[in-house]
Amino acid sequence: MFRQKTVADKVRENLLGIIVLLILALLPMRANDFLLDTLVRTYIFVILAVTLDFFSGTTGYLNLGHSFIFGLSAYLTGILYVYLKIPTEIAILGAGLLGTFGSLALLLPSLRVRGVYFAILSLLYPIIFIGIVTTQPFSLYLGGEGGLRIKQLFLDIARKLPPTERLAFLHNAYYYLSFILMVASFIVLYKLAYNEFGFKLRSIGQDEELSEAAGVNTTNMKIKGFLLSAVFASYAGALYAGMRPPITVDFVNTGSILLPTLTAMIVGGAGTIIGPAIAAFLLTLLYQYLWGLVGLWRTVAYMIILLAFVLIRPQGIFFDIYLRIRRLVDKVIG
Amino acid sequence: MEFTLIKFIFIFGVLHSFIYLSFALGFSLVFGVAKIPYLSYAGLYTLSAYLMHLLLTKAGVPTIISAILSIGAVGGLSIVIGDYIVKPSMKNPLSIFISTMTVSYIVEEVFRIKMGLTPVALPALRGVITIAGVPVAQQWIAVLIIGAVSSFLVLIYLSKTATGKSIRAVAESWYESMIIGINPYKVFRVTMLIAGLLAGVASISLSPLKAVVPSMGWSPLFVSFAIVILGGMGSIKGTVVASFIYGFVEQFVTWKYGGAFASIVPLALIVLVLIFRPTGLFGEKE
Amino acid sequence: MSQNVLIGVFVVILVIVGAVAYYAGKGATTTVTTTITQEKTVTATQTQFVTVTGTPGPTTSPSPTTTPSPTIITQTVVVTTPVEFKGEVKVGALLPLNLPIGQLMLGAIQMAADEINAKGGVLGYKVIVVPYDTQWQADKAAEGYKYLAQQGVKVVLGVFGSHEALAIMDLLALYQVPVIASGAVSDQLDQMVLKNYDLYKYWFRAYVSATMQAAATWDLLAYISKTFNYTRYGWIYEDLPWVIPHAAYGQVRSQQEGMILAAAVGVKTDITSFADAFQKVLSNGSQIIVWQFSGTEDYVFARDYYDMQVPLIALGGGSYAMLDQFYNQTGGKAEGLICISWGFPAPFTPKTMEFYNKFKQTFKTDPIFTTWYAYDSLYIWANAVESAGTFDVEKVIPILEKTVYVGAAGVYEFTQSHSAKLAPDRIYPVFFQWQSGQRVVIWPLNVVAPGTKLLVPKLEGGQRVWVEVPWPPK
Repeated sequence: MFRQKTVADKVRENLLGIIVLLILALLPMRANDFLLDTLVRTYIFVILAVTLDFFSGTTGYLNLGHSFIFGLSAYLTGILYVYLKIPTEIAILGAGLLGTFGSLALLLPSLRVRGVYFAILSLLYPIIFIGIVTTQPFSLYLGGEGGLRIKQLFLDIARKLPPTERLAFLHNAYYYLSFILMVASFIVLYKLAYNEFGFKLRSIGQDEELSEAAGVNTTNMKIKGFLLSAVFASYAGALYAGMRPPITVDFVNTGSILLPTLTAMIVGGAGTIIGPAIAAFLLTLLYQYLWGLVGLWRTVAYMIILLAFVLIRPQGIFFDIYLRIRRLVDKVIG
Repeated sequence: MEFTLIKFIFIFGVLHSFIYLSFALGFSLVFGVAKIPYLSYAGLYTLSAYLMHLLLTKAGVPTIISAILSIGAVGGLSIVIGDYIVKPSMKNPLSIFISTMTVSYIVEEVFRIKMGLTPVALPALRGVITIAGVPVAQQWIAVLIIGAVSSFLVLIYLSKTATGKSIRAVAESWYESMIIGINPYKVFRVTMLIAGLLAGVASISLSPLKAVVPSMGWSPLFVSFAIVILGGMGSIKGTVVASFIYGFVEQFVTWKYGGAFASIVPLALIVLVLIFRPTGLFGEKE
Repeated sequence: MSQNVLIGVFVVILVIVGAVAYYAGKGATTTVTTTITQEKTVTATQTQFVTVTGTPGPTTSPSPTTTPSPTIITQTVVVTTPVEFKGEVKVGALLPLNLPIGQLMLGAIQMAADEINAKGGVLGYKVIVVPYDTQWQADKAAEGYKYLAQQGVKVVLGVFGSHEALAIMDLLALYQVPVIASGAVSDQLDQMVLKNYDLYKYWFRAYVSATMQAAATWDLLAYISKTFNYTRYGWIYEDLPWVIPHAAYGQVRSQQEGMILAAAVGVKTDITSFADAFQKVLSNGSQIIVWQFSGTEDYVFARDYYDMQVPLIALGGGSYAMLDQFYNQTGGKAEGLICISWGFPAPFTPKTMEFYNKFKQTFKTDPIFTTWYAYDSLYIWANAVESAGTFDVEKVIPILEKTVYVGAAGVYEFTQSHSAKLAPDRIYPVFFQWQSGQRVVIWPLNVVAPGTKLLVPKLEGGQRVWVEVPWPPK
């Protein structure tokens, strides 16, 4: 008969992941500030990549407005703080939720169109948003080009500490918050993607009409999938806004937010969740450190990578690499 | 000289509509033949303006020749993009979407790094004339003539010449055109060339009146997009009519509410049309 | 592609990332290459390769803090006396290097650094300038300040944009690196220093505040309006935080002068056409235009001022309109524009013309606007450090507050809100009008040359013409 999976079994199955997580969790003890800062940004991009992949990688509905979701909750954080005088910590919690529902503004109208037209429509949302925010009279309330300024997350608490400990406290706090959010979003979306939920999403991606005929309520699934993707992306946006004010249109900018995410999704392997996660992690780290090597050209390098993969190897590589390593590890453990 | 609103709207509506028509036609043809929105249009538009500037200032090439070279270069690049980026992925429109879009981003980023926000001045006619009391820079007259002539030439080409008619045939159906002996790949190339040339011509004539900055290409792209979607994909008549509707609506918003709002007009229009009437005014149902 | 190659690729990427991270972590400075091509006689930098502290002979390896900058060409080496340094001290330059003014400000700071190093450095330490490109974006400015602080700079100079300054204010008390900005005029910054001294005392501005700028502009605006009997003015401005105090000041002052704001149009820095802005201003019955930009809108503004044949006096300020090439760059379309000029080649102090000539010779262009203040800002800090005898920010700040420094642009004395004082014998602008390619000074009246004329626009037969009026009017 089949025996139940023991804890030991579960640990063995996920050994690789557990080791990686442990290393990352203990990192702040040895890492310098620059690395911690970089990793925070990296984790945010992993969340972006995983959330985009969860919806677009499976259903094939290319959500090019992902930066709209991210930026919307960033701006909501700012608005809650500036106009409703809600402290940053609470504002983030609220903005994440509000942003999730706000993102439905993107999805619901676009549900009427398919394929390329969905991509077109979603692409326009961030651009329209930026256009409105930077134009008078809206710019007067939304910060315009200067951005919305808020009190940084946990700044009050930091100020109560002696001066030499303030920075370390903030860096550690931000690191762990983004780390936890990343792990949470990854675990939830990964499990769902490789379960029946994900199966239904993928069936939409394969052949929507056939899927509908087989009994899948595609509209329902699309909404649920999108919302799941949006909730984590929104919280990532709100959190990032709290950690890195001022809140400017850079949070919504397709070039700076969407393109790296899209690259990670494609280079990682669309639909695999873990491929884009690894890709986002490595590529974002590489991007930050490339500053010293190629300076401003790193953005161009990034785009060329995206172009090359789309043309030559659209299924990506990181998922395949991950599988290979996984098999090796499994063989070693026995 | 007077500064009444309605005159500005009318005069500049006309001036804009013809040039918009000329490059919307290029966009429309690619849409018809390749069935994709030609997102690299933005990059081509930007590239031709900067190329002209570089040829003029760094290589000392005289104006007319610089213009011809830049327009030609962009036309050629369009063919290359067609062959290497669009054609290989034609079965997967989303891939083309991403790749053509990335080309435009790369152009923008390269010029942002190399030229930054340094103002670049392209040569333009200097004088200012008055039409019904409204001051109009002479360059606008050049734009009007160029826009009208290019549009006219393209339309004649499409309806009277053999290649032009085969473009329309391929836009109808690749398969059926092959049956009657047309080589759709050759037609595809010609279409890409025309689109590139139109982008270059529009850029060189219009940008002296706007601005030459790395992000300059997105606005004409969205304008073409809006016009083609409003007019109906695959309909030349639709493109023509929509150009004028769009031109006047845009100028109305510009003069009444300010140029900043005008940049949102094409985007809002696309969103509205796609949601409420995806086939546009004259488009055929898919 | 074979699967093993895939693993190989993966491992290679990991190794690269690891190696780069390792070297980055060791404190290698990453410098943004500037795009100024200049011929420079380098003194101190080259000297380093000739003598080393203690032992003569070439240095074993280039200092990790100098990264090759391909576009700065070191030409002839003028080694006068070998200079020995105790070590190095880094100063940060937080600037929008994608804009011409950012590049020029960096050049000016570097020029000051070279001069200081030629005289032995600061407290015997060689000054190294570490630039960071903010791309004119607030969020990048915040990243930049953090980066510079992590690199160990002892002061941050530059900070040209108010939106950039506002983004870094809350970081000052955390990282405790002082800022001496040459720009960033928003009065909000002054308010922060006054209201929360402990948190914001690290902020200094070697320039005047927006309110002071507005006061200087309004003095001339009021005078011209009284002369020609104008009561309605139109205002075209850049929609950035620094303009907000101008609006507030304008509201109060216009009432005092009996003037009415007929139309106000805020524009984005990447504006492509002022046609609709002019149309709005004109159709609302404006009699004079006031304009305010800090980015490259100046060029589009001048072009459309001509193309629209705007028949109104336009007085105001823009970073590039002050440049002597501006007239030619706009093809002469700037004719008639009245521009403020902060920093002008006229002997305000003994150092003014010396700096102007050297800068012009080195960079082949005028030092525009805040370039003057950027140059002086490094000297201000260096002097304060020498007086304090230490780099310690807590000791340097009180010295800065008491400083009266004679610079190239004028004399710097800081107010209680850590801003330079506006006064004819401190920091003060001139206004000039573009006339046939010349910058003709028209304000303050005591520096106007006798026989000066003012060009006033008039409509004649559908075209705009310029009428000469004796200035100042009797």
